Amino acid sequence: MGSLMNEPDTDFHLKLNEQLFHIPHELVRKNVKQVQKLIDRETAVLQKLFTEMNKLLESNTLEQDKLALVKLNDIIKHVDHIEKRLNKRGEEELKLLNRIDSRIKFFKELEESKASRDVSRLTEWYQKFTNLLVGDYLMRNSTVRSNSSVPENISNEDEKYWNPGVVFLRQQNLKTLLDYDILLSANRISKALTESHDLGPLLSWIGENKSFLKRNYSFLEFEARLQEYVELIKTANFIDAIACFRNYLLQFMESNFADLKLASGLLVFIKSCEYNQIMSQSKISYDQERNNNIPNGKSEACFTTRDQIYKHFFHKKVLPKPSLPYSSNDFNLNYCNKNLDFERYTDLLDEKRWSTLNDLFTKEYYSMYGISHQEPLLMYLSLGISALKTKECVNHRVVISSDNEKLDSFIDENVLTSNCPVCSEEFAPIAKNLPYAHHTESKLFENPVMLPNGNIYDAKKLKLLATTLNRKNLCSLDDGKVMDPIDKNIYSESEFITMYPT
Amino acid sequence: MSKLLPIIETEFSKIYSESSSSQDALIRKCPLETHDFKAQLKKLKAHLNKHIQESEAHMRGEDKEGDVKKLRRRRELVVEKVNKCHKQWDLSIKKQIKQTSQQHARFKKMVLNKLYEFDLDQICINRLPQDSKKYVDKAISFHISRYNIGNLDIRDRGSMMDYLRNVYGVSEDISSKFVEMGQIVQDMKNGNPNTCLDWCKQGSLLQFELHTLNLMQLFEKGDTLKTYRFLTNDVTVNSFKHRHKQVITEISPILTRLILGKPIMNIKELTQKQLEKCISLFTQEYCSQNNVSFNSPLFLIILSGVIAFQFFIKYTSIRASAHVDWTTENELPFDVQLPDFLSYFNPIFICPVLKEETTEENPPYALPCHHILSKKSLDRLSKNGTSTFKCPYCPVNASKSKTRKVNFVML
Ligand SMILES: [Zn+2]
Ligand SMILES: [Zn+2]
Repeated sequence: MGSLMNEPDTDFHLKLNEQLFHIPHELVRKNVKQVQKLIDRETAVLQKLFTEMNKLLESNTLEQDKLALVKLNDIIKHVDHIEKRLNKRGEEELKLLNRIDSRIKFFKELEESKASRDVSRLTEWYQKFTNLLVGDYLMRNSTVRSNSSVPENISNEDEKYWNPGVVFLRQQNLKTLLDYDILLSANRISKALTESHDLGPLLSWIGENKSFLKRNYSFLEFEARLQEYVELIKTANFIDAIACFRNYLLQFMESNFADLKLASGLLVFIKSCEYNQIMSQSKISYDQERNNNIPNGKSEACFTTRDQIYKHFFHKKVLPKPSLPYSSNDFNLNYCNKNLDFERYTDLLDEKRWSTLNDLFTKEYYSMYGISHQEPLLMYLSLGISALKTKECVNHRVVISSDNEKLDSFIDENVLTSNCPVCSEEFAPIAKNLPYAHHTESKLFENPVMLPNGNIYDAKKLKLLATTLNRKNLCSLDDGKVMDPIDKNIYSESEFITMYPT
Repeated sequence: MSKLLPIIETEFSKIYSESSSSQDALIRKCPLETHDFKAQLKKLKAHLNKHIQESEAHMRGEDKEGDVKKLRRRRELVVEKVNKCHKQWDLSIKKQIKQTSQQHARFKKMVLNKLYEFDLDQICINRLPQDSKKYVDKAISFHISRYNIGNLDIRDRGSMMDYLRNVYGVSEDISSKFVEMGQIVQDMKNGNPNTCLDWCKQGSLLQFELHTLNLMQLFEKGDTLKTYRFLTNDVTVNSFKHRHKQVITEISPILTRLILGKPIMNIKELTQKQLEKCISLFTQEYCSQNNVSFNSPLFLIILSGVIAFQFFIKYTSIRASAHVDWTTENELPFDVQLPDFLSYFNPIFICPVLKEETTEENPPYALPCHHILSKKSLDRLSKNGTSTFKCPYCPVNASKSKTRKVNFVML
């Protein structure tokens, strides 16, 4: 089956969209594993209960039989509990299978549209596909809101979180085609890290996926806990920092020895700063007058840049030797670098660590579900712009205005505007630095004629324009006359020169 | 023809149980069997309970008929059955879950592994510039306004614009262009084509199709008299006057059925199709009248991107061994064949000598014979204007002074 508009075949589409099958399958697999675990655990429990009941029955006395009956009742209750949990898992799986099913149907629709040879039907399919990409983009990028802030007409059954991507897909009837839950939770954890510096959602995700991370030798947990520790130190919460170090970081002693050495050093380092700070209150106020940028008073909480922290540490470290010249920054820099692993401490305290942590998280998260890190919408846009971008797209045409404003604006808005999507105001700035399309053949128009000014037009369209301008009373052209929309001069059809561009 | 789709369908169907009349996922056998197990246990519990009561009665000597042997045998039977059904359930449920996992593993092997060919993250595409996000968001705003405004269930102008701003961040200057279109589309979907009739031009094709839609909707409701009256009185003669062909193909069959008093079997489907036809016609006219593009630029670019992807991947796999990085180049190294409706936005002239697209720096020039070359090849042929030369396409001789710069303009 050939294609209708040079579009790729269905199998190519399926391969490009492999994630649409990969993700729900991964979720199904997880669910089945849970069922497996549930069954392993619960059959063992039941086995034990049955053994106990049989023991009671062994003596074959009425009293023991009565106890066995109570036991049997317990067993029934337990079986009921198992049934309920299995049911829940079963329903979960049905929902996930429904996703796969709807995706199979979606690509069957593509196959059928191609077979029907109906371009408008195929175009509709691509419109849906585009909407799917838009949904994906919004899902990944727009802020996730919790359901308490749902505006009217959006509220939905059992979901805790939503964002515009979810709403859009629902309004387009495409909801089962995207794994919104997976994308949303990635977005939520990411935004918590980068925007509110909140480790909570990440840590609970790590907790749920310990075995996966372990299998991949991931440093995510270590880095997250290290960040937790650093944040506690930043707020001078040394007791919790030490507890965090003991409970979560010590276990990485072998794999991350150097980092941990540095981390513990940071604690000693900052504490000693604290101590010095108390010892020399008066001196600090003097220093603050000297340098307005020094963070005041309780300090540690508000380091944001390397500069700040540098200043902070530098004036304190030199306090014990009041005779040192404060003005000499060079000296102090050397002093610090020599005596303390200054750079490395500041790296540890740097705000950039949040985005690094986020990158590490998304890498693990997306690889777990086989989701691409690059956003599909942007990939298609990049290629699509290049496939469409002509040399003409960036040319700036000089249009000469006439003394008739109405005529000029009509020509400007209706005649010379290009429908080229790359020339649109949204995409022109993006397209500027992307490559041009490669063409081996001219793509012009029919009946090319040249006017004396060198402009070449489609003769029929030029004549049609003349008729339209007359009809709209924008000018009055005699029979056999046309107006060049660019220089607004009037030419006679007899001046047309037929061209032979190849 | 797709080779993968049938495989996916077959393997997917195996995740469902085959035997039962109502299709159900394999995994659902686990709770179902557990349910049966529970029911059996309940029954046996009742038996055991009865046994205990009867034994007690026997001991009190109330039940004269009671036979100790019989009681004992029944007790044995209950105990035996309880254990047997436990064993059966235990075996079966373990087998069931094993089978399900195996089927899923098979799905992975037979389907997912076959689908996995491109790792999107390994595909090296020119990244959009850093500041693209705001432009992409704007393009999405336009796209959503264009395609989603008719799906909202708010009709009031202000509320519609508020909604689009609050949910999607669409600015008023974009949404305002589509409000009227959205309202009319919503009305049509709700069975009220009147606002659209007021909007459209007298005697236009849209007007005719709307009347046809109206007619079909009345017919669908089964109100013969009303349909009749509509046809004879309400429909302005104007709208049917110049549409003989459409009247014959669209109206006549309905009319015949109406007169014969026969129903049209797939009337619902036909009405829906007619509705879609009207919406599409209307949006087309609306967009062209308001100078907004009928297809959103975002859609056209994405479609071009999908088409380009196959050429791109073919090229990458060919060049993979050569380690050529095209992304730094100014032009794609391969020719993407786009369909006509995506190819003629701007005039493209390829210099027939250089095989290069003309640009501002290298513009097209017309020879006296009305053939066209690029400036560069003209310079080359005329040795920088120092000699005459023969046109590469015809026997006419030309000199550089007799050529002139031209400019293709697409109208
Ligand atoms: Zn363009
Ligand atoms: Zn020639």
